[in-house]
Amino acid sequence: MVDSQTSQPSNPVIEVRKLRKEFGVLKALDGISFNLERGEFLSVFGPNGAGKTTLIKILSGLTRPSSGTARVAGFEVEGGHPEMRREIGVISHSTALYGDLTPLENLIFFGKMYGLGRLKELALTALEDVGLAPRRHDPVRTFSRGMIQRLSIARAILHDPSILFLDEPFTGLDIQASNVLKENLITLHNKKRTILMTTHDVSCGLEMCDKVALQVMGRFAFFEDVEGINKDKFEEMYFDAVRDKQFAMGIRHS
Amino acid sequence: MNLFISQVSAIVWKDFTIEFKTRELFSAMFIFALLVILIFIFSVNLSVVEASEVGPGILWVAFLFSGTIGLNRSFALEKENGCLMALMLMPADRTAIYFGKLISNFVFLTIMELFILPLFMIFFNIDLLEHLFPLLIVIFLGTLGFCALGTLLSSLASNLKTREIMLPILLYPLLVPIVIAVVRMTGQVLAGEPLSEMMNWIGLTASFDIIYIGVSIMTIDHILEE
Amino acid sequence: MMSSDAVEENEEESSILVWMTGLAFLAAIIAIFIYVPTERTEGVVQRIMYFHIPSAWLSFFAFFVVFICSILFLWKKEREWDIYAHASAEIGVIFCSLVLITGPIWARPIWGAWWVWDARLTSTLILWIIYVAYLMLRAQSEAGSMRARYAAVLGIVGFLDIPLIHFSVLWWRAFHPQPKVISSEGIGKGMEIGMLATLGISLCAFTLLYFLLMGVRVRQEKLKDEIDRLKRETLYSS
Repeated sequence: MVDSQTSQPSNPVIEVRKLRKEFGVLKALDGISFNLERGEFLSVFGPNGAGKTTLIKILSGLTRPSSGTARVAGFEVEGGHPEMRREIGVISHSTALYGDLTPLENLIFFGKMYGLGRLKELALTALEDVGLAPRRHDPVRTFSRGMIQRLSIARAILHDPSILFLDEPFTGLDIQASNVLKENLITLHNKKRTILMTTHDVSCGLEMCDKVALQVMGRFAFFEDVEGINKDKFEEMYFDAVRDKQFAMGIRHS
Repeated sequence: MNLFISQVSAIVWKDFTIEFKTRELFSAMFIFALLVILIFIFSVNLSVVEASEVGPGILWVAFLFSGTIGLNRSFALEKENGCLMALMLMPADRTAIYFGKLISNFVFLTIMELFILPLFMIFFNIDLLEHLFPLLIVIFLGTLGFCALGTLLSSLASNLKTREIMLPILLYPLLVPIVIAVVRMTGQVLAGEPLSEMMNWIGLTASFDIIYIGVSIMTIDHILEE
Repeated sequence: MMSSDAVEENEEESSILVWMTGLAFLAAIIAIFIYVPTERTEGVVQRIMYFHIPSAWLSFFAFFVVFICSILFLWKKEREWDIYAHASAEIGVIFCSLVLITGPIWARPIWGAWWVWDARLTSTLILWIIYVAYLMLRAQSEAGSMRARYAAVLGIVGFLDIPLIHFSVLWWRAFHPQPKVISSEGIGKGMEIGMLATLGISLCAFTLLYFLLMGVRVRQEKLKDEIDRLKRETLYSS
């Protein structure tokens, strides 16, 4: 699976051109363009309602854009080509696990859906990696939130995707789970996986990434390499954007 | 194509594994169907009304009501932890998800119906064994139609705030042709008429099944989209 | 989005339509109450048929428009088609309600009962419930692409059910007077020429009314969108 990507000629891996998503009057994305090369890690910051989740949903083929194009792993995202879906893994705040099944059964089910071979071994290794092997036969319902999140990470990268989308992955994690996630992200980054993550956590987001974007009202207000970015200055800019947004919301309610 | 079949069977396997562990759905459906039959028995006077006249209607009302419980549960399970979104991220056709859910809904409901039949036979004092084969065909056609449209609409209703209320409101009026057809056919079958006497009803039910499986294949893409 | 010229042009068009509809209804009312002779066997109550049949035609036509617009929406994904489907479904439900009201008024003296479980009555009632459920679905979900897609699927599923409902209910039982306008002997043979003409005028008037109502409803929905857009613009420009 991994080998097939090294021969992937498409460069850049993620290519977004003038992406818009609107329905009637609702504008979630208002013309976003950017490129991401193989192995790059982009952190997208932005206030709630900036359209970050919509961006990820479009890039992972869940939603159709209104106009503009996006190519992921060389495939047009619109319509969600099955081969493209094979290349991506998504981690979001919903865990996407069946509470009544055991971790092993969960991983085997999702593995079957990807058409993976030697599933049992694969699932066991994945469980070892996130430290859940001893509890592989207990129903997921009995797990703590942190354990569920760890399992959710194992599920998302079970098919070894070359591209990862993370939508606010640190929200609601305990320290252990967030460390497991960080470790995993660093490993994946070193293994040259392309990563796009949306987050609120400025220090954590800046620490790991190569590129930084600030998304406000459906647009990238800022898109730079992480080198040379002053953390405090960026934080200030980010909080300004959030405050402006809240200010605008205030008008609506009054 | 092989992947498609293994994906469909993975979904069915998953639904069955969950059901074997919890046994929530089957017991709920079975007891509910039994209750519906009992309530109807109390509401009609069986010493005045002929059991074979009201029996088929009561039987199918029980099937449809408890089937609705199954449908509601079926997609609620997928929505619970955002599993449906994960399914949609898989390299699977949307129709694989539809067929997986359709088959597990259909099998659950059919098994439940097979458990209800002997009780129905005892309560109404109707001999089903004589006409078992044509009866099973009628049950197959009716249950398939119910599940074909029901799976489509429950995938739709699962995204609404009021899904438990909206599913029957959307589903029942559309099911009228099936309900009339299966109740009529069951009555005729129990009266000893051969299936060849009711080809118009069989044709109607079969067209219903085919039309709604076809429509579901064509529209499920638009429902399973964020 | 909508320039003032376009609005004016729309207004001009709709004012012509208003006049035409008004005149057609005037003609229809004169025809129904003054011109057409009273039916011999059924008496004066038969005149309600000149409202009943056009309403039935209109509701059916409106649901057909919902079906077509739903298909076009799923195909093109343009808000325009969603608005048309919505407006048409609302009009269809109103006229379907009129059918269900005028029917019993006629049936009471003629059949001696407000309601009988006749094939046509039953299918009209089911049709009414299907499209009320359609409007409920729209009311239940938030504005946006999801609502439009779900409604479109239901618009298609619902309309395809109509022939199945028709046959199932027909084989179930039938009391309704055989249609006189189109019978096996040919179009219009079952009716007197005066009655046929009156029905024709009434049908025209109702069809014009449909387009008038559609125009108003669609414009209203578009203005709603426009207001939303302006609100958003002020919100974000500050």
